Order: sequence, then C-alpha cells, then structure tokens
Amino acid sequence: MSERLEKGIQALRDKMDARIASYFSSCVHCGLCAEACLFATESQDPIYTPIYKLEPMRKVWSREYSFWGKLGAMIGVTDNVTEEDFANWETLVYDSCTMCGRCSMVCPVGIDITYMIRKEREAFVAAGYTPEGLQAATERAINIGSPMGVTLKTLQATIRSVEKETGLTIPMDVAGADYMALFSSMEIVNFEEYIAGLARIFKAAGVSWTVSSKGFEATNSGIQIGDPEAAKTIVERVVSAAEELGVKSVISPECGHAFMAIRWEGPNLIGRQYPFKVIHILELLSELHENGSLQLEGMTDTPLTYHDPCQISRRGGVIQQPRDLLNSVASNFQEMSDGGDMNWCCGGGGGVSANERADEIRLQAFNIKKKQLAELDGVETIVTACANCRLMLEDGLEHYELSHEVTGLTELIAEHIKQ
Amino acid sequence: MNVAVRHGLIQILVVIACLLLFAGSPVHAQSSQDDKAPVSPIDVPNPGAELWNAVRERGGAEPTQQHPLTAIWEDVLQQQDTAAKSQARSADATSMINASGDQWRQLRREQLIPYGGALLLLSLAIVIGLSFVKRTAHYSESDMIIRRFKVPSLVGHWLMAGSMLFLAFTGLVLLFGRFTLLPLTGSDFFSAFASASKEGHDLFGPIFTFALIIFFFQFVSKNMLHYRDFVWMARLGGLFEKKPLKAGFFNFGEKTLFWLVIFFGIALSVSGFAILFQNLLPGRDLMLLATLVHAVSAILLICLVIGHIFMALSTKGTMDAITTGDVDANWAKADHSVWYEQMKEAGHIRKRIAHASDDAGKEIPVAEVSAEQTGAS
Amino acid sequence: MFTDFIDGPFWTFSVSVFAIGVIWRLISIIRLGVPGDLAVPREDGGAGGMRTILSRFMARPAVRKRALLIVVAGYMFHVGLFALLFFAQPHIDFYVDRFGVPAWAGMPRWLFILTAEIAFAGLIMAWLYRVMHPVTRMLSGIGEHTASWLVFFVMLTGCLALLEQYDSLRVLHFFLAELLLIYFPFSSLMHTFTFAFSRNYTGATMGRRGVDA
Repeated sequence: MSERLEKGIQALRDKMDARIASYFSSCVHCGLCAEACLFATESQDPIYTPIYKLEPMRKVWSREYSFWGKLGAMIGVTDNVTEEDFANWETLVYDSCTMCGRCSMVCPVGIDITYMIRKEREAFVAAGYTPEGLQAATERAINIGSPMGVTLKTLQATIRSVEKETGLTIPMDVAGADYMALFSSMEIVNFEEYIAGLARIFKAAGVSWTVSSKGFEATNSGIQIGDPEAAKTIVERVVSAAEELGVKSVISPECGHAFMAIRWEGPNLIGRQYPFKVIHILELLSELHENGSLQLEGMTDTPLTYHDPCQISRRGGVIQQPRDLLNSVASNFQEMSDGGDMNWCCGGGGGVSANERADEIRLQAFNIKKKQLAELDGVETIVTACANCRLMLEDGLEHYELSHEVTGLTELIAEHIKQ
Repeated sequence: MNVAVRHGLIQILVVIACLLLFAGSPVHAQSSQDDKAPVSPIDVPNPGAELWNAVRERGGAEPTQQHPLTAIWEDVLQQQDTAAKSQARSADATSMINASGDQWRQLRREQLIPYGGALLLLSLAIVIGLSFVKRTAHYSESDMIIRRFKVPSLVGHWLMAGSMLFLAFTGLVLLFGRFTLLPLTGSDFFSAFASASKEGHDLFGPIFTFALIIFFFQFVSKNMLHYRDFVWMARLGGLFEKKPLKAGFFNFGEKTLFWLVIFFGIALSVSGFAILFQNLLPGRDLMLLATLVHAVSAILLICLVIGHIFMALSTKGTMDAITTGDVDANWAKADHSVWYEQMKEAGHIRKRIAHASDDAGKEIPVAEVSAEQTGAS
Repeated sequence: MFTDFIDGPFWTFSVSVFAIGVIWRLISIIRLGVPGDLAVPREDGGAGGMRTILSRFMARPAVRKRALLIVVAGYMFHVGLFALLFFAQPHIDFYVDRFGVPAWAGMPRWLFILTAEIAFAGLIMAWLYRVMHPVTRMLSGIGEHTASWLVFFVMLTGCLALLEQYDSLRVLHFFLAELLLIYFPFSSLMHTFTFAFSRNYTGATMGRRGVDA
C-alpha cells in the first residue's frame, strides 16, 4: 500500500463519527437522492447518484464498522479502498457535486450526504487526489490571500474606482466600527457594483462600518477542496483582522460558501467562538429595512425571479430575508418552482466553478435552471445573492443562448434607497 | 418469416387453439340448468382415477351409471324447489338442498379438470415443440438504444406478472392438486399445502386486480387499434410477403394479447371477488357460475401467458425491453418500424452507456466513464 | 421435535441475537460521538432534530413529483407492515402469550387482510423498482435483496397460515420470522432504529442554522 493511499484511508477512518456511522447504517439504497441531484437528473446517468459518490467512505465504514465487512476483511474477501477508487471517484466527488445539499433534504432516513462529501473530500486531499483548478485556487488563497490572486493593491484600486463613482468614502481600517465588511474576490474583480451598493446603503442607513486591509477576502478554497488546515488559516485572517479592529460584527458578502465558511464552519475550524457576530449582508439589509433605518422607495414592475444560493438559503438559513427585500422593491417577483430551501443549484458551487475539468457536466446540469426559467411568465431578470452563482448563471445562460439578465440583490436594493 | 410477425401469429394461434378446444368441449352444454339427469362420465386418463373411484365407493350417493341414484337423491331432486321456512336471511336459506352444486362437482371433475389439464399440457407441448425450431437473430446489435418503457411501466408489468404467476401456481394446486400432488405427497402435507395455496390465492387475488388496473391505464393508449393493424390482419401479418409489415409501438399480435389479458383479467377479477364475497351474492347458483368463469378464464389466460413467455424468451432483445426498459435501436427498426421512425424524429435514440449501472456496480471501475465524461470536455 | 425447537430454544436464541445485536449496534454508533458545534446557533439543535425526525415522515413535494412510484410503494409497505406487526390480532395474541404484556385492541379481520394486501403490493413494487430503476439497480447489493426477500417470505408464509388450522404453516412462518430477527442487526434493516438517529443529527445541524430540514 502506497503512502498516499495509506493517508487517504487513514483520513477516511478519522472522519468516522456517530453521524456518518448512523448514516451508513440507515441507508437502504432507495435511490431518492438521485432524484434531487442536478447532475443525476440532467445526465440520467446513475453514477452521479449522490450516495454513490460516497462509495470510498462507505467501503471503509463497511470494513471497519459493519459485521459483514469485518468478517469479510478477516477472511480476505472484503475489498479495501484502492488508489484506483480514489482516482475514479475524484471526478464524482469534485466535478459532479456542488455540495448544494438538495439530496440531504429529501433522504427519507435523513442522511446528510453533503456533510459526508465534505468529509470525504478531506480524505481526497490527504491522498492527493484533487482537481488542479481547486489546488491552484487554494494555493493562491494561502500565498496571495485570494483564490483569484486578488491582492490588497487590487482592492485599493477597486475602492478608488468605487469612491470616484459614488462620491463616497469607503472607510478602511477604522477601529471600533460596528461592522467589518468582507468581499469575495469575484466582487472585487467583476462586480464592484456590490461594493458601491454597500457604500450607498450604509451611508443612507447611517451604519458605522469599515473594511480591513488585513482580512477582506471572504471566500475560502480550503472549505471547498476539503483542506481543514488551509481553511483554518483563511478563517484566522478574518478573525484576527476583526479582533484587531474591535468590530461588533463581520458582514459576510453576497457569496454562498464564504458565508458557510465564516458563519458556520469558521468557529469549529479555529476551535473557539468569535468575540464578534457574523451576519450575512441579506440578513443585515433586512434588519435595517425592518427597523426603519433603511428607507426604500419606488417599485420596479420588471418581472424578476430570485435564485437562492444553496449555501445561503438551504445550508445557511437565509431564506425569507431576500424575499421580503425583493417584495419591497419589485411588484412582479415570481418564485421559481422549488424556490427557497429546495432551489436547484447553479451547478458551480462547492469549487466546481474553479475546476475547468467539470465544465461539460456542469453545463449539462444547468439544463435544470433552463427548465425552471422556462416555467416563469415573462421573467428576463434573475436576482441572486452570490457572486459565484451570478457568474455561473451568466455562463449557463450564454451556453443555452438565453438572454436573461443577472443582477445582485444588494445592488437592486441600493437602486431603491429613498433619497 | 419476419420475427415480429411470427411473434404475433403464434400468440394468435395459441389463443385460437384455446378457444376451439373449449368450444368443442361439452362444458357449456353441461352448465345448463334444465338438464338435471345424471351424466355419464367420459373415459379420460386420470392419474387420480383410482382414488376417485374409492371416494365414490365410500360415498355411495354419487349418481353415476355404476352407482344408480339412491332413493335419497331421488327425493332431493324432486323436492329441491319446495319452499322451506328459515330464520336465516342469507342467500338460498330456504332451499333444503341445492342440486346444482352436485352438477358443478361433476362438471369440474369430469370435464373441467381433464380438458383443462389437456389444454395446458397442449400449450406447453406447442411451446416445447417450437423451442426446437432454430431461430436466427432478426437484427444485428448496435450501440444505440431507445427507451421503450419507463420504470413505472416496468413495475406495473411485473407486479401483474408476478401476482399472476403466484395465482396461477396456487390456483392450479387447488384445481389439479388433488389428482397430481396428493398421491405423491400424502394427505398430511397436501392438506396443509392446499390450505396455504387457498389462503395465498385469496390474498393475492386483489393484488392482481390492483395491478391489472394500473397496467391497463399504463398501456391502454399504446394498444388502441390503428388502421395499420387491420392491414396487418388482412395480409396475415405479412406471412407471404418479403418485406416486414409496418408496426407501431405494439403490433397487432401484441395488441390482441393486451386486450385478451385485460378481458380475462376482468373476468378473473369479477368472478374472483364474487367467490371471495359469495355470501353477498343473491344466490348460490351465481357462485357456481363465478367459479366456472374463474376456472375457464384462468386456464385460457395461463395458456396465453405460456405463449407470451415463450415468445419473450425466444425472441432476441425482447427481454431487454421489459427488464431494463431500453431496446436496441436495430431491434426497434426491425420489429416496430413506425415507432422507430417516430423516436428517431424526436431524437430519442441515444448511445448505450456501458458501465457500473449494468451490473452490481460495486467492483466495477468507473474510470472509463469518468475519463469519457471529462475527456470530452 | 422440530416444532418444539422452533417454538422454544430457537425463539429464545433469535430474540436474544436481535435484542443484543440492535443494542450493540446502536451503542457502537453513539460511542463514536459527534464533534460539537461552536458556531452561534440561530435556534436550538434539539428542536431541529425532533422536527426533522417527524417531518421526514412526509416526502418533500420536490421528490414526490419525480419519484411518485417509489414514494407511494414505500408508504404502502411501511405503513402496512407496521400495522400488521402491531395490530394484527394473531400478532397481539402472540405478544401477550410470549411476553406477558396486556392485550391491546387489534384491527378487525377485514382491515387486517386489507393491510396485508397493501403491504404486499408495496413491498413487491418497491423491490421491482429496486431491480428496474438504473440507480437502485446499481446501488443494491446482496444485503438489500436478502432483506427484501426475507421480509417477503415472512409475510408470505404469514398469509399462507391465515386459516390458523395447520401448525406446520404457523411454524414455517415463525421460523422465517426468527431468521429475520437474527439477520436484522447485521443488515440495513437497522434503519428501523437508526433512521431516528440520522434524522436527528441532520435536523439538529440544520436546525441550528435556522433551516427546517
């Protein structure tokens, strides 16, 4: 057995907790998870069945925690995980799973497949079977500070541009501010409208906020690839920046997995609770709107729909806020079928967008979004709250030659601030 | 001869053979109410005959030529229509004794069992004989497939097929077991076995009816007769023609099978429920009629199914349709040309995926597939 | 003699294997523990766990639409089997006789038979789906098929013994039920108990995040 295989198997073994043991003990292979997975439904290929993606992990569980597996191992008939398994499953685990969590919502015995995929990816990292695109992104995140290679200089340039456009000052490194805003690289590079929108809204609502030059990047490739050490390093940057400035809250930007990383996984990665709150920008906007500090005016009658980013709604619990916000600025907001906590993923979450190898299957899976959009009545505008979803939606729409426009919810709200 | 044609023709032949045999048998004449005179038995080979004779000797009240009517039986026949008084309010409660029960018993023993058995054996013999005829494959395999049945249709078919086979087995035990099994197994085993068969038969009957209803709605639209089918019929299924005749999703033979299955299925279900809830029937004679209908329909349906199973197993590629739901594109082209063209036009012909899903899955490397998926990107 | 063995020692053995096996399996799961969650929860995990334990008894519309057959078949089988196990009069009589528990109200005979029909149809359809659907065909191994067929034969022999006149038929049913009890802890039939654990773990995690999983 090679060293990398040994490491991979050991990692799978180490991940085994009561949850996973209970999950594998409960699975009766009913196949319902396949009906919830966009890669499985759109390809009609059974190998994309979510629970099947956990076969390497199940093998270790079977060998070491089940009666027949242990008996088989003793007499030498139960297979152990092989390097071939790792090689074969690499594409299933990384290319055709966005960890969107739809499968976890429909399992009749309540198996959280997404949780296990997350753990299984850690073993793939340990064994060294990871897609190049994600490896490179993680390396950049650790060495440069952002998966896309965005440096402080890039941020400063963007901020200058935003300040010029809005005529507002973006407060940098202000100690004692109430809120510290984080951005995703994608926003800094592609969607500076988000930063501009934020500045306008906070000005109007009188929010005391700041941006740290030491910890502004919210995305976390370590979470996506399944490297806890890298993930921890990235979270620690933000935590120490926030602690240094002494802010009360940290604002997670319009990015799905960034919210997951900083809000739900972060404290567990660094092993302690934060001395500050973490709040998603949509939660904050909704709060400001509700308590009256953010006044909105004007209703757009453009038909529009909302694409729930999986990590924000289904896995993150921010479901009602975007709907309340949309309904206060749009008179023709239409819900997609399965919208809300069962919305279909854009196909690019969980690091799939950073993995070029997955492009073909990702675009095939996007067909489900095409079907969802086709059911709506005259909707040409998709609002979302995740820079990655936004990019993936644009890519998918272009691939299927659709003319829908995609926009961020924060920007939309910023357009309706009461003057 | 084109195989699809042969498929249809053989099924029709089996059906016709069944119908003819029954039409020629004295069953129908015997079921008449007017004819109360004892009937002379027909001398047919019967493995349980000796046993039967013993039973008759013991009973002594059997109105046969060897054993003339006793005085008691004469009395019964004369007085059976005499009205009696009873507190019981159930059907035929005031009838002292029902002589038609005895007629039914004779009919069952002397006509139904020997002729029915002969018919079943004949069907089997035909099928066994045909299985010696060498059949060449009627198409060459391709790597393109077409979805023929969705999973619910497959499940619908097999739920009906499975319950039907179980009912056929237990039903045959009940009808013939006494003459075939009892002598072999002895009465201790057979009585328990027959009781089990009876309880099992009663319980699975409604499941068959449930399956039949689902099956009917799943397949009825594809079994509506089309003008193409009349052409098929008129030209004897293209028996004497070189080019195969056009057929849609189902050909005329298959449609015939469908409607016969539905017909016999309904007959079996209605008569079966009548027997199960016999106390709710207005009279005992109706129950006897139900039992007769049940037995006759069952035997005919079993003969049909024997032919159907033979055709499915012996025609290359046909079992794929009903086990995986997918058929080879060339199979469709050869047997169901019209449907094939429709599928082709709609773009429903796709490449066969050969990997894990075809087998148990666990040990089969997914490498080739993954490589195929990613390599193409 | 065979009857005595099935009714006596083998029954004790199989019930012991079942009870000890199930408890041992459950303990071995719990013993592994779950890592604590340091993220500040939106709501209580315990409530989320309980909610998911109950809410997953209903299939979500998203999947109900796509896989109606297996959802319906699953309900038919599970509800039917549950009713048969605990509310069929012969079974209640058996529990009273063997465990000395006080009797409870059983189903009327007609409902008992109807329940059996529903459970049978459900089980057969579920198994057919298993072998017909490409996904379940790929996933299913010898464990699933053994469990399905063992349950089927237990139910079948039960229905063959319905007349309750032949001891041989009763013993056959009883024997198969004992085999099922022995096989139970070593198979995915354990989901009968572990489903609550799994739903609870998932429901608690998601509940803390404010998601009704």
